[in-house]
Amino acid sequence: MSETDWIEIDRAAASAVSNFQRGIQFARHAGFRTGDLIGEALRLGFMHAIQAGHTSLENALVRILDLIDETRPRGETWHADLIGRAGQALSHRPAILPRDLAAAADETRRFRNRATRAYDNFDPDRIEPTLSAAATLERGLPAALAAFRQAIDP
Amino acid sequence: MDGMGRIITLAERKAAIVERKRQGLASLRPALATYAREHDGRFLLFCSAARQAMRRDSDVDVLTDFPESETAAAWQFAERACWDRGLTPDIMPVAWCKPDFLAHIQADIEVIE
Repeated sequence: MSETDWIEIDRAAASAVSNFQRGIQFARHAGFRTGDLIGEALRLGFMHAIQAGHTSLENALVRILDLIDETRPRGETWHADLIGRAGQALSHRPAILPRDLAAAADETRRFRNRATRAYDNFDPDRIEPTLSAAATLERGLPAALAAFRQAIDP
Repeated sequence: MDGMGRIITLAERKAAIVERKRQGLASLRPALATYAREHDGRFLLFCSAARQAMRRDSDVDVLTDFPESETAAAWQFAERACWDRGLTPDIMPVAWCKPDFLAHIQADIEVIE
Protein backbone atom coordinates (compact mmCIF):
# COMPACT_ATOMS: atom_id res chain seq x y z
CA MET A 1 0.00 0.00 0.00
CA SER A 2 1.10 3.54 -0.49
CA GLU A 3 0.34 7.06 0.58
CA THR A 4 -2.32 7.42 -2.08
CA ASP A 5 -4.26 4.43 -0.73
CA TRP A 6 -5.00 6.42 2.41
CA ILE A 7 -5.93 9.79 0.92
CA GLU A 8 -9.69 9.23 0.80
CA ILE A 9 -9.68 7.39 4.11
CA ASP A 10 -7.86 10.26 5.79
CA ARG A 11 -10.22 12.75 4.16
CA ALA A 12 -13.29 10.86 5.37
CA ALA A 13 -11.85 10.55 8.87
CA ALA A 14 -11.03 14.26 8.95
CA SER A 15 -14.59 15.03 7.88
CA ALA A 16 -15.91 12.82 10.69
CA VAL A 17 -13.75 14.58 13.27
CA SER A 18 -14.65 18.01 11.95
CA ASN A 19 -18.38 17.29 12.02
CA PHE A 20 -18.26 15.78 15.49
CA GLN A 21 -16.33 18.85 16.69
CA ARG A 22 -18.91 21.16 15.16
CA GLY A 23 -21.76 19.19 16.72
CA ILE A 24 -20.14 19.52 20.14
CA GLN A 25 -19.73 23.26 19.60
CA PHE A 26 -23.39 23.62 18.68
CA ALA A 27 -24.52 21.67 21.74
CA ARG A 28 -22.33 23.73 24.07
CA HIS A 29 -23.47 27.05 22.65
CA ALA A 30 -25.37 29.19 25.15
CA GLY A 31 -28.37 29.35 22.83
CA PHE A 32 -28.74 25.59 22.26
CA ARG A 33 -31.84 25.20 24.42
CA THR A 34 -33.55 28.50 23.66
CA GLY A 35 -36.89 28.63 21.91
CA ASP A 36 -35.89 31.20 19.32
CA LEU A 37 -34.57 30.79 15.80
CA ILE A 38 -30.95 30.61 16.95
CA GLY A 39 -31.77 27.75 19.32
CA GLU A 40 -33.64 25.91 16.58
CA ALA A 41 -30.74 26.41 14.18
CA LEU A 42 -28.25 25.12 16.75
CA ARG A 43 -30.33 22.02 17.48
CA LEU A 44 -30.81 21.30 13.78
CA GLY A 45 -27.10 21.95 13.27
CA PHE A 46 -26.24 19.51 16.04
CA MET A 47 -28.43 16.78 14.57
CA HIS A 48 -26.99 17.32 11.12
CA ALA A 49 -23.38 17.46 12.31
CA ILE A 50 -23.60 14.18 14.22
CA GLN A 51 -25.31 12.49 11.28
CA ALA A 52 -22.67 13.82 8.89
CA GLY A 53 -19.89 12.81 11.27
CA HIS A 54 -21.16 9.28 11.53
CA THR A 55 -21.69 8.98 7.79
CA SER A 56 -18.10 10.15 7.20
CA LEU A 57 -16.88 7.64 9.77
CA GLU A 58 -18.73 4.88 7.93
CA ASN A 59 -17.18 6.09 4.69
CA ALA A 60 -13.70 5.80 6.19
CA LEU A 61 -14.38 2.32 7.56
CA VAL A 62 -15.84 1.02 4.32
CA ARG A 63 -12.83 2.35 2.40
CA ILE A 64 -10.52 0.58 4.83
CA LEU A 65 -12.37 -2.69 4.27
CA ASP A 66 -12.05 -2.18 0.52
CA LEU A 67 -8.36 -1.44 0.88
CA ILE A 68 -7.68 -4.70 2.67
CA ASP A 69 -10.03 -6.71 0.41
CA GLU A 70 -12.43 -7.47 3.21
CA THR A 71 -16.05 -7.94 2.18
CA ARG A 72 -18.31 -5.10 3.21
CA PRO A 73 -21.21 -5.95 5.52
CA ARG A 74 -24.40 -6.23 3.49
CA GLY A 75 -28.12 -6.17 3.94
CA GLU A 76 -30.33 -4.16 6.23
CA THR A 77 -28.00 -4.69 9.19
CA TRP A 78 -24.90 -3.33 7.50
CA HIS A 79 -24.65 -0.08 9.45
CA ALA A 80 -24.59 -1.92 12.76
CA ASP A 81 -22.45 -4.75 11.42
CA LEU A 82 -19.86 -2.31 10.09
CA ILE A 83 -19.27 -0.91 13.57
CA GLY A 84 -19.22 -4.38 15.06
CA ARG A 85 -16.68 -5.51 12.48
CA ALA A 86 -14.50 -2.45 12.96
CA GLY A 87 -14.35 -3.16 16.67
CA GLN A 88 -13.33 -6.76 16.19
CA ALA A 89 -9.83 -8.11 15.59
CA LEU A 90 -9.70 -10.78 12.90
CA SER A 91 -7.00 -13.31 12.15
CA HIS A 92 -5.46 -11.14 9.46
CA ARG A 93 -5.80 -7.72 11.05
CA PRO A 94 -6.20 -5.96 14.38
CA ALA A 95 -9.42 -4.18 15.31
CA ILE A 96 -9.80 -0.96 13.35
CA LEU A 97 -11.42 0.80 16.29
CA PRO A 98 -10.59 0.13 19.95
CA ARG A 99 -13.51 -0.93 22.11
CA ASP A 100 -14.36 2.54 23.47
CA LEU A 101 -14.43 4.07 20.01
CA ALA A 102 -16.56 1.24 18.63
CA ALA A 103 -19.05 1.78 21.45
CA ALA A 104 -19.06 5.51 20.75
CA ALA A 105 -19.60 4.87 17.05
CA ASP A 106 -22.56 2.66 17.85
CA GLU A 107 -24.01 5.53 19.90
CA THR A 108 -23.66 7.98 16.99
CA ARG A 109 -25.17 5.35 14.68
CA ARG A 110 -28.20 5.11 16.93
CA PHE A 111 -28.37 8.89 17.22
CA ARG A 112 -28.57 9.09 13.45
CA ASN A 113 -31.67 6.93 13.64
CA ARG A 114 -33.07 9.35 16.19
CA ALA A 115 -32.21 12.42 14.15
CA THR A 116 -33.58 11.12 10.89
CA ARG A 117 -36.83 9.79 12.33
CA ALA A 118 -37.62 11.86 15.38
CA TYR A 119 -38.84 14.89 13.45
CA ASP A 120 -39.97 17.36 16.12
CA ASN A 121 -39.42 14.88 18.93
CA PHE A 122 -35.85 15.97 19.63
CA ASP A 123 -35.16 16.82 23.26
CA PRO A 124 -31.94 18.83 23.70
CA ASP A 125 -31.71 17.75 27.33
CA ARG A 126 -31.24 14.11 26.32
CA ILE A 127 -28.06 14.36 24.30
CA GLU A 128 -25.40 13.61 26.89
CA PRO A 129 -24.60 10.04 25.71
CA THR A 130 -24.35 11.27 22.11
CA LEU A 131 -22.27 14.27 23.09
CA SER A 132 -19.91 12.04 25.04
CA ALA A 133 -19.64 9.63 22.11
CA ALA A 134 -18.92 12.46 19.67
CA ALA A 135 -16.20 13.76 21.98
CA THR A 136 -14.68 10.28 22.28
CA LEU A 137 -14.58 9.89 18.50
CA GLU A 138 -13.33 13.41 17.89
CA ARG A 139 -10.45 12.85 20.31
CA GLY A 140 -9.61 9.26 19.49
CA LEU A 141 -10.36 8.58 15.85
CA PRO A 142 -7.20 10.01 14.26
CA ALA A 143 -4.89 8.09 16.59
CA ALA A 144 -6.90 4.87 16.23
CA LEU A 145 -6.76 4.97 12.46
CA ALA A 146 -3.08 5.90 12.54
CA ALA A 147 -2.37 2.90 14.77
CA PHE A 148 -4.33 0.62 12.47
CA ARG A 149 -2.47 1.97 9.46
CA GLN A 150 0.86 1.48 11.18
CA ALA A 151 -0.06 -2.13 11.95
CA ILE A 152 -1.11 -3.12 8.45
CA ASP A 153 0.94 -0.69 6.34
CA PRO A 154 4.15 0.02 8.26
CA MET B 1 -46.90 -19.81 -21.55
CA ASP B 2 -45.57 -23.39 -21.69
CA GLY B 3 -43.35 -24.53 -18.85
CA MET B 4 -44.46 -21.80 -16.56
CA GLY B 5 -45.79 -22.72 -13.13
CA ARG B 6 -48.68 -21.00 -11.50
CA ILE B 7 -48.19 -17.26 -11.53
CA ILE B 8 -47.88 -15.79 -8.08
CA THR B 9 -49.81 -12.59 -8.11
CA LEU B 10 -48.62 -9.38 -6.56
CA ALA B 11 -51.43 -9.63 -4.03
CA GLU B 12 -50.25 -13.11 -3.02
CA ARG B 13 -46.66 -11.92 -2.68
CA LYS B 14 -47.75 -9.03 -0.51
CA ALA B 15 -49.92 -11.31 1.61
CA ALA B 16 -47.00 -13.70 2.10
CA ILE B 17 -44.76 -10.86 3.28
CA VAL B 18 -47.43 -9.64 5.68
CA GLU B 19 -47.83 -13.18 7.04
CA ARG B 20 -44.07 -13.53 7.54
CA LYS B 21 -44.04 -10.23 9.40
CA ARG B 22 -46.99 -11.31 11.50
CA GLN B 23 -45.21 -14.52 12.47
CA GLY B 24 -41.99 -12.63 13.12
CA LEU B 25 -43.81 -10.21 15.37
CA ALA B 26 -45.47 -13.09 17.22
CA SER B 27 -42.08 -14.57 18.08
CA LEU B 28 -40.59 -11.16 18.79
CA ARG B 29 -42.96 -10.41 21.66
CA PRO B 30 -41.83 -13.22 24.02
CA ALA B 31 -38.18 -12.53 23.19
CA LEU B 32 -38.58 -8.88 24.13
CA ALA B 33 -40.56 -9.79 27.24
CA THR B 34 -37.86 -12.16 28.48
CA TYR B 35 -35.17 -9.54 27.94
CA ALA B 36 -37.26 -6.85 29.62
CA ARG B 37 -37.83 -8.97 32.71
CA GLU B 38 -34.15 -9.86 32.96
CA HIS B 39 -33.00 -6.25 32.58
CA ASP B 40 -35.48 -4.35 34.70
CA GLY B 41 -37.23 -2.52 31.92
CA ARG B 42 -39.90 -2.75 29.28
CA PHE B 43 -40.45 -2.32 25.58
CA LEU B 44 -43.37 -0.42 24.09
CA LEU B 45 -44.63 -1.40 20.68
CA PHE B 46 -46.65 1.27 18.94
CA CYS B 47 -48.27 2.07 15.60
CA SER B 48 -49.01 -0.83 13.26
CA ALA B 49 -47.12 -3.46 15.27
CA ALA B 50 -49.22 -2.70 18.34
CA ARG B 51 -52.45 -2.47 16.35
CA GLN B 52 -51.89 -5.88 14.70
CA ALA B 53 -52.04 -3.99 11.42
CA MET B 54 -48.66 -4.72 9.86
CA ARG B 55 -48.46 -4.03 6.15
CA ARG B 56 -45.93 -5.19 3.61
CA ASP B 57 -43.75 -2.13 4.19
CA SER B 58 -44.37 -1.65 7.90
CA ASP B 59 -41.52 -1.08 10.34
CA VAL B 60 -41.70 -2.37 13.87
CA ASP B 61 -41.89 0.75 16.02
CA VAL B 62 -40.37 0.11 19.43
CA LEU B 63 -39.70 2.36 22.39
CA THR B 64 -37.19 1.14 24.96
CA ASP B 65 -37.86 2.01 28.58
CA PHE B 66 -34.85 0.97 30.64
CA PRO B 67 -32.45 2.57 33.10
CA GLU B 68 -30.11 4.85 31.17
CA SER B 69 -27.15 2.55 31.68
CA GLU B 70 -29.14 -0.26 30.00
CA THR B 71 -30.59 1.77 27.13
CA ALA B 72 -27.93 1.08 24.51
CA ALA B 73 -27.92 -2.66 25.17
CA ALA B 74 -31.73 -2.82 25.12
CA TRP B 75 -31.75 -0.96 21.80
CA GLN B 76 -29.15 -3.35 20.36
CA PHE B 77 -31.10 -6.37 21.59
CA ALA B 78 -34.37 -5.17 20.08
CA GLU B 79 -32.66 -4.25 16.84
CA ARG B 80 -31.09 -7.68 16.42
CA ALA B 81 -34.24 -9.43 17.55
CA CYS B 82 -36.17 -7.69 14.77
CA TRP B 83 -33.54 -8.29 12.10
CA ASP B 84 -33.29 -11.97 13.04
CA ARG B 85 -37.00 -12.27 12.31
CA GLY B 86 -36.98 -10.41 9.02
CA LEU B 87 -38.49 -7.31 10.60
CA THR B 88 -37.33 -3.74 10.10
CA PRO B 89 -36.92 -2.01 13.46
CA ASP B 90 -37.50 1.65 14.20
CA ILE B 91 -36.30 2.07 17.75
CA MET B 92 -36.26 5.01 20.12
CA PRO B 93 -35.74 5.24 23.88
CA VAL B 94 -38.76 6.61 25.76
CA ALA B 95 -36.39 9.02 27.48
CA TRP B 96 -35.73 10.71 24.14
CA CYS B 97 -39.41 11.37 23.49
CA LYS B 98 -41.25 14.55 24.30
CA PRO B 99 -44.47 14.25 26.33
CA ASP B 100 -46.66 15.42 23.44
CA PHE B 101 -45.28 12.65 21.23
CA LEU B 102 -45.97 10.04 23.91
CA ALA B 103 -49.47 11.44 24.34
CA HIS B 104 -50.00 11.24 20.57
CA ILE B 105 -49.16 7.53 20.41
CA GLN B 106 -50.68 6.60 23.79
CA ALA B 107 -53.72 4.90 22.27
CA ASP B 108 -51.52 2.63 20.15
CA ILE B 109 -49.01 1.44 22.74
CA GLU B 110 -48.58 -2.23 23.64
CA VAL B 111 -46.44 -2.69 26.73
CA ILE B 112 -44.09 -5.67 26.73
CA GLU B 113 -42.57 -6.44 30.10
